[in-house]
Amino acid sequence: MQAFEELVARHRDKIYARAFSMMRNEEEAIDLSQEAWIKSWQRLKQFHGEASFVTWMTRIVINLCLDQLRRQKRFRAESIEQLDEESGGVERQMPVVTPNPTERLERNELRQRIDKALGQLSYEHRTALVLHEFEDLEYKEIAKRMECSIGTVMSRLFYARRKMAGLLAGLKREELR
Amino acid sequence: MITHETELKLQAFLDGEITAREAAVLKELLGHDPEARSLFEEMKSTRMLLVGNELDVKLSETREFYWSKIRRQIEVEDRRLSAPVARELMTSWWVRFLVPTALLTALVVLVVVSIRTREGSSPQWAWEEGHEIETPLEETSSFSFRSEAAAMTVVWVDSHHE
Repeated sequence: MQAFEELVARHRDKIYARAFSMMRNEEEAIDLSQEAWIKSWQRLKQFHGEASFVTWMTRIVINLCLDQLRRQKRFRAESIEQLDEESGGVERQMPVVTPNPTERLERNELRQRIDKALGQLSYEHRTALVLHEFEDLEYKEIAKRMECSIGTVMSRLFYARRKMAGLLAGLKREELR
Repeated sequence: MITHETELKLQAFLDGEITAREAAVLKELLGHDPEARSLFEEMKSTRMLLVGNELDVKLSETREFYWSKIRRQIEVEDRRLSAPVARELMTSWWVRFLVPTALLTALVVLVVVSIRTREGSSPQWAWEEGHEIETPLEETSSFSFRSEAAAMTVVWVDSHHE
C-alpha cells in the first residue's frame, strides 16, 4: 500500500489534470481521479506493462470521465449534433484564420488561453480534441471510446479545431487591442 | 467552396489517417486550390499550437488529504469484495447444517404429533404398561414387540414361504 501511495503522489497531478480537462469542474475531477486510483488498485494485476503506468492510469481516468459524461447526458445524441452542425455549422462558415499568438505570449500564458478556449467548446468537441491532440489517440480509438462512428469523430474534431482557431485568433486580436 | 467531405479529408491528411492514394489527390488539390490550402494551414497551425501546450493543472488538495480518501475507499472496497466469500460460507453452512437440522426437527415434531394423536384415539395400555408393537415394513411381514416393563424386544419375520 505504501508503494501505491508513492505512485499516487507521483502521478496524481497528471491524472487529475486529464479529468479536469474533460469535466471542466474541479470537484468532479478530484472525485473521478480518486476513483481512477481506486480502480487501478483493484486492477493492478491487469497491468502488464504494455504501456507506461501513467498511460494506463490515464486511460482509466478517461474512461471514467466518459462514463460520467454519458451518465449526465452531457453528450448530445449523435443525430442531433450532426443536424446542428450540418444546418448551422457556425464554425464551418467562419473565415479561415491563422492562430499564432505564440509570438506575443509567454508559454504559461499561452497555455492558460488555450485552456480557456478549450473550456468554451462543447463536451463532444473538447473530448475529441483532448483525446486526439493531448492523448495522441487515432480516430478509430477515439470512436471506440466515445461510442460513435469514425465519421462523427472526424466531424467533431474538425469543428473543434475550427472553433479553437477562431477563439485563439480572437484572443490574439484582444491581445493586440 | 470545397465540400465538407473534402474538409474532413484534408484534416485526415493532416492527421496521417489517409491512404497514400488519397494523399496524392489531396496534395494536388492543395497545390492549386488556395481555399483548401488556407484551411489546411489553419488546421495545421491550430494543431501545432495545441500539441505540448496543455495547461499544467495542479491539484489543490494536499498529498495526505487526497490519499486518505483513496486509502479509505480501497479499504471499504476490499472489505466489500471479501464479503461475498463470507456470504458464500454462510450459505454452505446453512445448507450443510441448518437444513438437515430443520428436517430432523420437523420429523421429531411429526412423530410426537402422531404419537399424541394415537394416544388420544387408541387405548392407553401400550404406553401405560410400557409395551409397543411395530410393523415397520408391512411388505416384508415383520413385526416387533418391545416391552419396557419386561425389558425385552421380540421380532417376528415372515419369510413368505408357503
